[in-house]
Amino acid sequence: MAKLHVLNYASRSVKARQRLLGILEGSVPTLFWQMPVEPAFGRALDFTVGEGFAIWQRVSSRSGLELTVSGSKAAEAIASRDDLLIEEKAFLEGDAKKISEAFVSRLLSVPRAR
Amino acid sequence: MLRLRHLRLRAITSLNRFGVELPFLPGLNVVHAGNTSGKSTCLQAIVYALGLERSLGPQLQVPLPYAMRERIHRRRDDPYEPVLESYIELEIENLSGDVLTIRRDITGGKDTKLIQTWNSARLSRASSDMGRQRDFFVHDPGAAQREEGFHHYLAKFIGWDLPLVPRFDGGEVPLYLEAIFPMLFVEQKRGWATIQGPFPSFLRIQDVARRVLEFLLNLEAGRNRRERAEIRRLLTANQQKWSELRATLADQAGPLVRLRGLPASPTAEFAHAPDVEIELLEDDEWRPLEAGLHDLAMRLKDLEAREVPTAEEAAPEIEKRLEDAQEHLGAQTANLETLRTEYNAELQDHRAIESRLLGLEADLKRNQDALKLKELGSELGQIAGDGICPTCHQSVTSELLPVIAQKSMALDENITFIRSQIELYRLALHTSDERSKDIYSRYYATQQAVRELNLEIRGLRQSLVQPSLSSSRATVEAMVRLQAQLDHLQATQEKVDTLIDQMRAFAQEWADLRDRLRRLSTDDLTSADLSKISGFETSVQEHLGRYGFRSFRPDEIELSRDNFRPLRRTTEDGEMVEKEIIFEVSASDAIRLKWAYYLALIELSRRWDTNHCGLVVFDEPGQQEIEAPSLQAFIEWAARNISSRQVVLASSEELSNIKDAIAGTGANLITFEGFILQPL
Repeated sequence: MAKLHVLNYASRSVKARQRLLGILEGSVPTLFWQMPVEPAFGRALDFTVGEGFAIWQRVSSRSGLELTVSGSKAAEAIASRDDLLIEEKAFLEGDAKKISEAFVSRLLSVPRAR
Repeated sequence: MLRLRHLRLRAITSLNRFGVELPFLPGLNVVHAGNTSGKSTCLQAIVYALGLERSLGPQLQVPLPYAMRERIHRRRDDPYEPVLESYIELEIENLSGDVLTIRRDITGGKDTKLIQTWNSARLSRASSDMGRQRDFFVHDPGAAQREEGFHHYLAKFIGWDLPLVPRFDGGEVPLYLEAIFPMLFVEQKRGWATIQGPFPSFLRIQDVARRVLEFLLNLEAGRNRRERAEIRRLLTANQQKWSELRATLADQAGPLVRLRGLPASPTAEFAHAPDVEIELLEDDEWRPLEAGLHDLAMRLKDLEAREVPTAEEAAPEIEKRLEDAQEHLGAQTANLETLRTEYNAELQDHRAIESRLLGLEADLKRNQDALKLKELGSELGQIAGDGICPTCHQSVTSELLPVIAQKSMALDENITFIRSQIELYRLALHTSDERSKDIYSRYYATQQAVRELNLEIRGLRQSLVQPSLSSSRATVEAMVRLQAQLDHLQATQEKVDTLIDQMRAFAQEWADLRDRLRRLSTDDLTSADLSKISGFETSVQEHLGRYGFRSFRPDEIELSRDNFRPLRRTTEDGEMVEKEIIFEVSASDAIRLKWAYYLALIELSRRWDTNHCGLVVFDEPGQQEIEAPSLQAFIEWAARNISSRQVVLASSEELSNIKDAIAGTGANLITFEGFILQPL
């Protein structure tokens, strides 16, 4: 879920995306990442689950979402349209792939003392 | 205790001096006169003289009828005469027999906020000795707390140590006399509408009924609560002092000495055996200060033991040392630069963590709000769940509604996540603080070292150009420097030790306070309180029996253990419920209940240790066309049983009934024909 928050925030503004990429490349310290935890995004996730597009999963004490069949179909439907969420899709298909769970963990932890 | 001795009213016109004298005795005093003849004026004059008119309401107008303010006449048909001057005088007495005469002007005299007093019986005894005069103020801020405030003085005169009570705004105020007085004075117009009070609400005291009754009954629960509040106040002060000392300690120790194991708040363990390590930064290493001191002392001793060499003898060694020192200086200067960079980086991290924390805290609030709203929504938006379409209001069969098996949890997850992050970053912030301090210490130490090295180098250079047979300047200088360092550190240790001793005393005080707090029982009534309340309850029931209370059996009436209001317990659908009595009884029984409650309260002070001042005033107790025998029973009981205390009542009841009721009791009956205020 933390990763979803990171992706959500990064997909929202160019500045946030640049900063995230900087951290990925190592040119910006991880401490400079400010990630808001949006209640509205939380509600959106709840609605996603409510619609039956995803189900809550718990993987090694962290909670996450897994798309259901209808969820995957909905995602594919959005992906197949060229006139919809263009920038967001570009980010998710490009740089976002570099964001691993391990990277998110690093992002959220406190860097060791120099 | 408070006893009324004498009341004097005066209203002066250009032609006449109107007025009345009312001598009061211990026990029952009945002021008898016809309707609208001025009885209530007399009783309200007592309230006014005591500066307690705000117990009847927040207005600051004089609570007296026009006869005392504007115009007065002798008989109903006589023309009015304008009042030019008027005032009230009241003589009161306390338990120690001190007498106080009070004067308060109404019109034409001094400011109505001024109360003049004399410590003599000016009204009841015609004496030339006026006693000592002292003036006070009422109604302005501080009337209850400042020396010159009349209520502060009056409370002391009565022997009351007024407790501090919480207000709705969170502050604390003394339990004002205005709040207590409605339990001692039943005013004719509004006083009979409720069993307790009515208490003035403008004072904004929380749970005022409970606070007043707790005080009058002198309950341990109230005392315990006040004591707990006092202990909490002391604990806060102690904690504050501790923090101050801790800061002073860090300041006194300086950047080269640090203290480990000094808790942020006082602990009991610290009081017993403070486990504080004092460390000194030496050669980039923290080590016990004691060890550092020992080494310094040894080095000094070593130097002193040696014979001071001549400049010539020392020259080769000095050259060697000069070279070492210069090399060392280079290294330290470089080190200084590194540390400065490190410090700045740490500072940046610190700021980044702080700003992350701020963001997280804001997010936590927003998510918590969203969760609350969602819960509110699930309460408000149940219409679809009831099988009704929210848009067209047609009924919808439940098969058409989607079944949502999944619980929504994103907001809970957000909150848990944010909380764990906040915890993590708080810890990180603390660590970063520690690191900054450490870097600063190192920076400071390096700076010191650079200065020392510069001095040493200069000294060594001078030594090399010294006359060859004189004593080596470098050795002497080294000894002086070592001595200065040793002195400084020893002084630091002494200061630190003294402060730790002080902190230990505070920790001990803290532990004692915590212990006292733990020993004090909770807010609940203690067993002594409960037996006092049950004595009060029995007494109320007995009084109700006497006065012909009929709505219920008197023994069905109980007193709430919460606010001490009378109530009736009854079973409804197999469940015990408490019913507020005032809505359940007839109007005349509500009056009987009021008599019973007030007399039981004053009676209680005969057998128990209470704070009741032993005075109750009833203005026209014959309310609601109450039957004559009930009123007679009430008057008779008061006449026979209130001897060392005082009950004052004003009534326009049939005089023969009153005379019958008090026959042979020695009660004080003051009767008037026509208007009470007459030309003197």
